[in-house]
Amino acid sequence: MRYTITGDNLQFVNIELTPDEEFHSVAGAMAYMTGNMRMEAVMEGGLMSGLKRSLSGSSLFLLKYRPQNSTGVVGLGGKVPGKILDIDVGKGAWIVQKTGYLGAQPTVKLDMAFQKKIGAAFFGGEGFILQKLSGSGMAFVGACGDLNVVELKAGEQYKVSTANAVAWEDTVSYDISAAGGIKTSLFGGEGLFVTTLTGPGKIVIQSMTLQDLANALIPYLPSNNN
Amino acid sequence: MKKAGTGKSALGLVMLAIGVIIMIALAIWVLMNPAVLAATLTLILFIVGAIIVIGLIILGIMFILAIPMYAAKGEQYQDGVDYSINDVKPVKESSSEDKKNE
Repeated sequence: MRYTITGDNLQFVNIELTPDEEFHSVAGAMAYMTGNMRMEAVMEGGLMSGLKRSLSGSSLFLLKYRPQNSTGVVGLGGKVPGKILDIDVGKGAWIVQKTGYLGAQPTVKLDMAFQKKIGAAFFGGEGFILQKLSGSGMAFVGACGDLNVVELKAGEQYKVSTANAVAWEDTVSYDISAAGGIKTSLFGGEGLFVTTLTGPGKIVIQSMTLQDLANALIPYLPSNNN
Repeated sequence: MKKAGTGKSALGLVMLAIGVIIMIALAIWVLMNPAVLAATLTLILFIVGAIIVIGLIILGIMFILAIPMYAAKGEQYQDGVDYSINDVKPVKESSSEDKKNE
């Protein structure tokens, strides 16, 4: 499978498939495909897997793309202004924020993951349920805003604003820490907690969450009064 | 250019549409009975109430846990550990060829 990720803040992932290759994506992600490509909605793994996918922010059905006896191209787009990240799951499992999964090779397993620490689940900003990508092959994750990737060595730690952690390798420890003293907590704009990501492993951070974007737009939404 | 038949799928869609219309008609017919309407409204109110209560319980737990968690976690920081801006890599346009070269 060959692919390119093109565009600036509303990116495409363009995937080229040979006749013996398949690709899976979340429902509604397809932006275009060549005339020789066929897609089919499948409940991969059965009803329980489908329900688990739904609970983790993905879709009940996945779309399966397959070219017909020739090489074809399919293009996927994210649902929000932001970036698309390519992840080689064969190098290690990843945890992804809810709704992050866009598509992957069939050898990639998409599953539901739970926050293990109650503090991180309540105050980490990502909720109780996350997505886990394991197996082998390439997976694509989309998120709002611009993305930074950092490879942490063992013991290295990044403090991240709650909900700004997009994805992290399974080896990374995800927890919370107090944002600071009472002045910082009340007037710092970060609330009581920040998320801590401790290495080893790669982490992906976003510049803006979908909630931030929605909050920024609310004052400018037209109302009946003006 | 080949053509895969979608006649059966179209028939399925028609059946589905008819099913939805029958369900809507059935719901309207059932709801025209005042007793059923009252029971349905009670059930809806019960479900909405349960969702609100669950939400309030979660908020309550968060409110109760927040301060003890804040006190227990403390502000964690590392002293004397160097980090570099060069470790922060932006996500840009890329391709499978780039990944192979990594």
